[in-house]
Amino acid sequence: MVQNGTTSPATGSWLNPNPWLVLFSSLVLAVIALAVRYIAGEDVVPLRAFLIFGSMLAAIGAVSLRLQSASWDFDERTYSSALVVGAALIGIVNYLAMAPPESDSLRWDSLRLAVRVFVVVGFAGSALILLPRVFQRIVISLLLIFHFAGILSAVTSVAPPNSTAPWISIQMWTRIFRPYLYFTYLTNAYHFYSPDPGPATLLWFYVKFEDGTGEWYRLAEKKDFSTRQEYQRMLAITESTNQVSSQMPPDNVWDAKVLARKNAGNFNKEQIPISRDYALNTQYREPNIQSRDLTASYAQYVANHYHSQKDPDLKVTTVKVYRVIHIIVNGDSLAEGIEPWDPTLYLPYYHGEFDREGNMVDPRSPFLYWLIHTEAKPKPETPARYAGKRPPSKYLDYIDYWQKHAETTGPDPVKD
Amino acid sequence: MRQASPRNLETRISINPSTSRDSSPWHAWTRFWFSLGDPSTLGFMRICAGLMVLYVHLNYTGTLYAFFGKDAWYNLQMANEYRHNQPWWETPLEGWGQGHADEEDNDKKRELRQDEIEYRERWLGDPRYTLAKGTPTTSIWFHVTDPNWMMAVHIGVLITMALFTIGFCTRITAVLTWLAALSYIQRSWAILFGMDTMMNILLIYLMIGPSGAAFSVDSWLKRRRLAKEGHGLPPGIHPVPAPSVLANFATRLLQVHFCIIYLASATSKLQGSSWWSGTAIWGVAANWEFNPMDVSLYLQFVTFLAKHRLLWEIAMTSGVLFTLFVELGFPFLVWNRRIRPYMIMGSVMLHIGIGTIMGLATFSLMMLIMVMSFIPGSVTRWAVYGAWDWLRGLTPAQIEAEPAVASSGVLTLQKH
Repeated sequence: MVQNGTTSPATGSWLNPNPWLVLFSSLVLAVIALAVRYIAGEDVVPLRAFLIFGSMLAAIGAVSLRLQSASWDFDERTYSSALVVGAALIGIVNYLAMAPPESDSLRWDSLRLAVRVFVVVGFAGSALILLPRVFQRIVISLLLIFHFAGILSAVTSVAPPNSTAPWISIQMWTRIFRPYLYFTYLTNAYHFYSPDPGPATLLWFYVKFEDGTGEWYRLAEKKDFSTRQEYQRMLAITESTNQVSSQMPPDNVWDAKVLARKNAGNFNKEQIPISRDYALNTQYREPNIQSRDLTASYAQYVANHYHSQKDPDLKVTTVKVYRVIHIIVNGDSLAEGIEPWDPTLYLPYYHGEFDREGNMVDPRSPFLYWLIHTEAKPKPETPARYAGKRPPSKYLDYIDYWQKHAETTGPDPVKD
Repeated sequence: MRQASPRNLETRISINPSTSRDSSPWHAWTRFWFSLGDPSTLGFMRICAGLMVLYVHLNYTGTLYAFFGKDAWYNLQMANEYRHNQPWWETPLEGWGQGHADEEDNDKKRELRQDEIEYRERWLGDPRYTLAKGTPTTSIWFHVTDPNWMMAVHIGVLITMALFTIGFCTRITAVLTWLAALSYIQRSWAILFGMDTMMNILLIYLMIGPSGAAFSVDSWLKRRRLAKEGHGLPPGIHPVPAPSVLANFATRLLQVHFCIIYLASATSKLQGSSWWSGTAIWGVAANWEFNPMDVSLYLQFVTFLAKHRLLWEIAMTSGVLFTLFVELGFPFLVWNRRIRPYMIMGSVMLHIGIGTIMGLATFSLMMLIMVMSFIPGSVTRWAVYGAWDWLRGLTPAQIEAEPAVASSGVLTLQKH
């Protein structure tokens, strides 16, 4: 049957209960939940949660049953609108039933937000049902334009390389569309592999134990995960720390940082020089505040959940975090025998040492946010034809300065 | 007996034929968005999307506490802090400065309070210039943190998603499935990637449209009820779901959104030098963390390409041109009926390539489900029923049942 209001045996759901009875049962559940809230207080939260959930489910069910079987006649639409209003009012009762104690205004706050949205949509929908068809289509068309304008504001509010995002997009995104897009998770800009496909970001954790030893925990390696999905999730975690500030420190601060870095590397127990293979200003990458917060959270997780391979009962004291960029091997390098997993293609940037509570214990470390690289030196048996150029990986010895850094720096260096 | 095929089963539905030739913008708009549509493709998409959603959330079972618990990778305390206090900085509507005090706005020139000083130290910005704080997100995982209750809720979610997949009480389970998926997404954004974005879009539009009207338990139960009332189909005849405006509306939403995704992705790629130089595909083909380079055959293949410059350049440039052609051309060419099958094929090939070379199988599958929205319902029915009959060893259905025609007589159904 065509759902434009004509009746036929084929309309409606396979279920045939009276929508008003279902709505009434929703109201009963909501009222009981409200009564439980004010009589029992915070003692029976699961019961209240079930009642509220059941009530909302019944309200949605009642609306669904009614709208599937209703016709286009004005009387029918009036009844439908009334039922939707009833469902919205029940939403308000449930909202009150979710009201937290005064001492904890944040309790269930995000779920109360969802119920508020349900109520608003309900009232708006009830008005829409009553409108004549032409006006219905006008209103829906306006909502469509709002929806896609919001999506386009998200798409265009990402700044292009070396420029700023359109001022109008930023204003529309921030002032108008942000709440709607965030609630519905439509915030993506769809800038996949752009402007250029980039290298993957990994996280290497150096976990230090109470007995003075340390172990590496590398995130993420394919072989450690049973499903591709889980591996992809962990890659998303590591990638989330790759948000670096585009602004370099002022010149006087930068000069002091470079000097401190050089001195720390030269006078450390094990020398940790600055790399000669990369420009100096690319060797310092200060993360933005979100990246720093995430790093701290991840370090806290590792500190509290990682167990030593040698003795699972050993307690973790601190965790050092390195954000590692895995450079993609060039075509010419691959052709010349440089393997995609060559150690020099991994660029670890030191992101700090954290305790079990996620607090950074070395915020003044001169190595903080600096590249701690791997150096490659040709082996003595390297064929002469590679003189003056980088030989294949099999002819190279590697010095992992990040390993030396992990073991010999910080408030509590690892014992020999 | 006449064999069913897409051509001779394709139906055209015209609304008010006398006005269908009206070419005014408003009528073109209403024809595009508010015509009757066949829900068959939506029904099939529901099954595919439901299976994917079920797989994604089944994968969470082993890592539920690690991703969504109180002490997860992205711990609850930090998640709450961000969703309540994350600043959204104001870009003034007047003037050209960023954050400069408006001479008329005394509020921005006053002294900071103590809590504002703490806010500034935490978020590295002046709180007097925040437009808003926090994000309006909703998730059950902000509030349920007890491991036993978390698992109980998770199992309930899986059951709901299974019911949505088979199309049982679809109107309700579709809403619950989307809200449930949103809960996982909003709690732990750090683990998300492109697949979650597409999954959310699919669920929103499948929730709006009558995705349970075809290939569902709901439709089967409805036919059983009709059969008992004497309106059953003759044996051997496959049902055709009643067309509806909502089916067309939801399908158009999917189609337009899909085109926006492609257009945004393509235009953002054009900002990148590697897409212009024809080398961007290497950035995905040689990305160790994503591609199957640990498979020796694949590594041998890319190494072979790298050692043969001409082949390498042809492969890379072809890949770049194909990607840009599909992403840029699809939003414009897919609306032409003759070109549509080829654009759909191109999209399918693109995502099969992404799935195999980049290892992003779930993301690719979600995109393939979205591109199904461009397939007419009659083709979907022909494919599904044809496969069903073949599996049962039957000859394909000769005639499809015509949908019940509206008694108003306004709608006509023409079979070609």
